[in-house]
Amino acid sequence: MTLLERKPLKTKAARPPYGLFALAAIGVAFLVLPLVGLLVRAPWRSAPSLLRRGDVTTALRLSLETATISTVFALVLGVPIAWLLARTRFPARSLLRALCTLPLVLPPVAGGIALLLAYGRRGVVGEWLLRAFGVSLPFTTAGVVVAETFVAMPFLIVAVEGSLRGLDARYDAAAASLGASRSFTFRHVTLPLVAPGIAAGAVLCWARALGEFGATITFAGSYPGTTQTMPLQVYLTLQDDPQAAIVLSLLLLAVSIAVLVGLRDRWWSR
Amino acid sequence: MTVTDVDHVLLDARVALSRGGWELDIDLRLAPGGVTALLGPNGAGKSTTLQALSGLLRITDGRVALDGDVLDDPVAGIHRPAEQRRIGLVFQDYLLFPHLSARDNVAFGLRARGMPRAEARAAADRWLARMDLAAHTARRPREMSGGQAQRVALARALATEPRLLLLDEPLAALDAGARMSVRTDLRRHLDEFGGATIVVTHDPLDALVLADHVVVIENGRVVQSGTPAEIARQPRTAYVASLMGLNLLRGVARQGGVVLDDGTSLTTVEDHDGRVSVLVRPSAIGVYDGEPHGSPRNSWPARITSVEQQGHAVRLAASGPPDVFVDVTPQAVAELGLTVGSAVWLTVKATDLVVYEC
Repeated sequence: MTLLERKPLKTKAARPPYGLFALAAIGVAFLVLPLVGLLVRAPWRSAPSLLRRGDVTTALRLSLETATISTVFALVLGVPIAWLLARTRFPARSLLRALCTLPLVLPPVAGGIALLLAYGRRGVVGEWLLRAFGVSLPFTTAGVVVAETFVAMPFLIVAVEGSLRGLDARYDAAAASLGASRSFTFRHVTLPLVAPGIAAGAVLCWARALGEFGATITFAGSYPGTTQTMPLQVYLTLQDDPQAAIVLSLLLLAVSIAVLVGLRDRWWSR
Repeated sequence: MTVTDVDHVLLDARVALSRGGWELDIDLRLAPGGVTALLGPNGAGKSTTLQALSGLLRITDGRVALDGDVLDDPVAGIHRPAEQRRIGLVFQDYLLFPHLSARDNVAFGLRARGMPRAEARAAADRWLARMDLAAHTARRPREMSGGQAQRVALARALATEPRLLLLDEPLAALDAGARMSVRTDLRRHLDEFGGATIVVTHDPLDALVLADHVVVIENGRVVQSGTPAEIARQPRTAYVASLMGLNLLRGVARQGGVVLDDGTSLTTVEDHDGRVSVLVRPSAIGVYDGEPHGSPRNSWPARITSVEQQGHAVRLAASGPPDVFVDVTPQAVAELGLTVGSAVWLTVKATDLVVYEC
């Protein structure tokens, strides 16, 4: 008999009430039909030539790069925030959690304007950045990363905090009794044990950053090659070449699915 | 092995703290070597004492010194964190790191102290070999049996060469079948460990087998301490007596007997003074279906309140006064038709009463 594994009793899957079943079916159709629409109406014949266009590959590369860099920033800053929220007790903790997850509910456009007021050339911090270091964030690739990190990091914080709360804090006590310092324990016990949660959070964060539109266009603008990411290009293309917009949307969808499936095999199916 | 009359005291501790109206105040002095059991019912404060000693919990009063090294002294503002105490702790559910193999679990404490990986793993392998786990070094905790997990946890704690080893209910997570062999094994490993060990348990059998000194805790206080034999011979509280499977009656000595606190009296062989404890083995009490007339000096009417098979004997709980446990054979139960509610007479010979002053 093993110590940690307890098999749950097998029960028959619950049969849903008919009303629930009908509503669920409508909901599924509502979610899936747009994807079907994309696939059915896509101009498959002209797609290959479109995907080889220079402006498309540039935008795609920019999107992938900024989403990845944003996710790295979110990991470096977000995991410590999640740890503080999950493991420490201080009076303003609920307030801190509310503030850190605010971008989840804030409309991204409003977020972009807020970013301009903080980090813009005349912003609270931005003015000082410009004067002291000559650094200007708005309408640069760095600005894209700032906007994406701002919008996507809360997804990571929420996922990692949940994962940390599910971890038995007595592992820390066990490590301490073995003479491990707090930072050694964090690196060798806490981080490995919440790795699946961090991975899930990073995937959510990356996907959110990849699709970011509102805050990016407000804070960083839409300059081809430097700030025009895929979502911005899709939207602009839709104005004068709807067929191309469909193909670009499919491309974004394919990239997201590829990443989800790839990571699922590595982490989620454990 | 322990307490007052030793030249060298390894652990000198008074652990005192209060939480929401509940108070703990425990004195512990341990000599190096040997195993001390903290025995007591659930909620007595045993695990809290361990947590305080290991530094996971701050005491609010008292002082903890290990090998002359002051670890806790709230009045002087001293509190050494757990990671600086060199006190090994084996948790009730072991808490092996689930993402590490047996080898890396045992090597963890050495790695935390900066030992290179290869060296730490070699040391871990030696410890696992001593625990007869040489074939299982690569196993993850979820692939181990309860007994194996316990030995890995013990090796993990011992590998850091602690000055004091604390075990919290080391056998509680095991099923009854495994407990017997693991208990004997554990005793052997603890004997090999040179430092002092404290074992927390609510099971008197664990205390008797594992420890050479027993400290009984009830309600946050030490109620008795001594060798297992002393505790078994002269329990100081009804809880300790019932743990040892004995009846303990309290009263005041009179000429030729004892007047019990419930008002009844017992005839004894010797005369005593003042308050006394009277110890009666459950098997020394006779059961009759009517008032007996014979040699036993003590007899009283009682009602059976429970009937339980215990091994080859049947244990009856009888409500007097005085209230006692009685051990009889299954045949006697059948012949006398004993069930819950049966009215009986109980007898005990004066020579079967063990009386001591308390």
